[in-house]
Amino acid sequence: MENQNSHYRFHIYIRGIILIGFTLLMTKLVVTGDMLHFIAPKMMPFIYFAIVVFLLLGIIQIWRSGSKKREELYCDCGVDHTSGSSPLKSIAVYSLFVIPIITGFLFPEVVLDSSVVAKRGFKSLAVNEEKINKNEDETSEADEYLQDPEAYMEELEESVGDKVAQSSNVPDVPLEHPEGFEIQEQPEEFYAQLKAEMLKADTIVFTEENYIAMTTILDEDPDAFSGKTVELTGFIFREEDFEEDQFVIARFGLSCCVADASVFGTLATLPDAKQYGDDQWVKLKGTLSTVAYQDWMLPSISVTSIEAVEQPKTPYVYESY
Amino acid sequence: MNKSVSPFLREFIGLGLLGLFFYLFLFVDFQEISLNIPSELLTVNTMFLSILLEAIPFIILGVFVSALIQTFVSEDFIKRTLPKNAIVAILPAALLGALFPICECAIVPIVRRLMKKGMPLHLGVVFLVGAPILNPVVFASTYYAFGSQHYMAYSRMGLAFILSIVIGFIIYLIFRKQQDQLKWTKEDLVSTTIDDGKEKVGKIKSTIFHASDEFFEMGKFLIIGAFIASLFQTFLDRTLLTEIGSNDFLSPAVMMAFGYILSLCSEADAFVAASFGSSFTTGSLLAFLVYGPMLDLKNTIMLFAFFKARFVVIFMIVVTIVVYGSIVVFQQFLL
Repeated sequence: MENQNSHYRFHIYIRGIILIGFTLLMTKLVVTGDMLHFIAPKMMPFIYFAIVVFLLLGIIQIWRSGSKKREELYCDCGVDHTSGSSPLKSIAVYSLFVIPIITGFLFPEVVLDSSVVAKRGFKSLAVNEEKINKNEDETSEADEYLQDPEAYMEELEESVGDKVAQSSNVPDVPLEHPEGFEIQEQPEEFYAQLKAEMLKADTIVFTEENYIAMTTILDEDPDAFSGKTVELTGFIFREEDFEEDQFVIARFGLSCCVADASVFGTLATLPDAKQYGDDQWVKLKGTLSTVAYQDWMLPSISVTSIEAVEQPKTPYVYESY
Repeated sequence: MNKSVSPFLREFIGLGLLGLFFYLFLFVDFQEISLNIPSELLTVNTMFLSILLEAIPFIILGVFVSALIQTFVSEDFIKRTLPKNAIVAILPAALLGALFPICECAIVPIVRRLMKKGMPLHLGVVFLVGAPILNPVVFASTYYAFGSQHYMAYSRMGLAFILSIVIGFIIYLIFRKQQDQLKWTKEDLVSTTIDDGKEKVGKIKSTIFHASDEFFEMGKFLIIGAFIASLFQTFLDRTLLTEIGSNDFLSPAVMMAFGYILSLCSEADAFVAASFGSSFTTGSLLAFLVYGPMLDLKNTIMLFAFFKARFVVIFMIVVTIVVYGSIVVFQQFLL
């Protein structure tokens, strides 16, 4: 029995150390700013929460592993004792936890590049205009059908309303995003306003905050912006079927983490485009026009000035809501 | 048990690990090393860590809620609160799922705990499939991601609500006589009898202990799932998908498979779905949005670890057929 106790005590000890390891990793990523290479800023409060909890848990675990009281070791009912069955298996299980900690420390600065764009495609049309028009008439139909078991749908509509109200009333519920989901932040209004501003301006400057919105607006209605000057920073990427003078200038846009990154890019043309390889970060200025590419009518920038730049400190852009 | 390592070796391993972490924390700076590692591997690593870092806070929350249930909610309470009639109980379960703002990472430990406390299997299933979609944050992100196509958010919520009831009902029909589909560990059974020992460890302390033990139990499956998902994230060529995008019957199936392997958080997947908006049918996007949170690679691995394999397989088949069928019906008549 004593042997088993000390055996189990060792497991708790190792777990405590692993928790401390995660705490250290996350702390370092936050301090260096590299955390933003993995997740979006709006998720940061959750990371702070995790750091604090891991630190506490880690300390408690290590303290608990030294405890003399048998109940404190064993009070857990859900513990996985299989990991205690053989040393080899324990090593395998704990390696699972240790490996991400180590690779996290070693490679925090890796940024997605054009090889990922090739796998995802550069066209990220958030909203397709034709579809909107077609479907708007049909929405009522859809609603009618859903009301088929009428009670369900009504209840749902109500509960949805309630829930939305809730989400702004009870910001304390920790499972929700604490910010950014207030109802007054209507993105359509934001988009409409931004579009109006863009139409008014002679030179449209893509900022990091508005990069996603501006690219989307441009894609939706390329004709409206023909002839305007744009200024933006991004990395270069090419599809296989591009002409020699064509490339895409793009950024990755994240909503929660890198796994949901999509590419927000705009076509550009430049006679000596070859000079700039894939993944090269550039800042360019040019005049907008439209071009047909595959089945789409896309905005295209005729580059008037271009300069190579360093990759920005935050290479990604983030959904603002 | 006798194979256990000597005390000296243990101290060595423990301190060595701690030392390694502190060394990495204080002194290692990647730019100085610049090893020659293929960029694909690095991308896999980045994807893997990002899924992990994003999921960890939510797993912690799920594990804590589960630990609180373990410590404070009694079996009696669950028995008394649930309606006696098994089928009648499905509706309140679905509504309750809508009230719990929990994403799919957090739901598995909670459902498992509730079932260990005596919640019937089919109600646990209603929770499992409904709660991750039916929550205000998911509604809001879907609503915003699809710009002016508001009906996407409503359809997603409506379908999730109705389908969670349908799935719960089917599971009830299949497993009426075999309620116990959890894997019980030796300790579970022991702990229910040991309770009379009354050597009280404080409730708060015991909640904390439960939570950290369960984190490790869940964590290893999360890590395996996140790793496999990151392989797909890196190597799957999504542009191939678009070629099948316009087929009414094929595209929902493809998008369901896609949602399954990507294992995105239900709060973020709407943005990914929206990025496919131009090349996929509306029905298939809905299939992605409804199926992904109900079943995905990382929680399948957790399910297999905690439920009997036969149950998990049947559960997955039921969910797949119900979601696919309803999407096909939905788009035939409505879209």
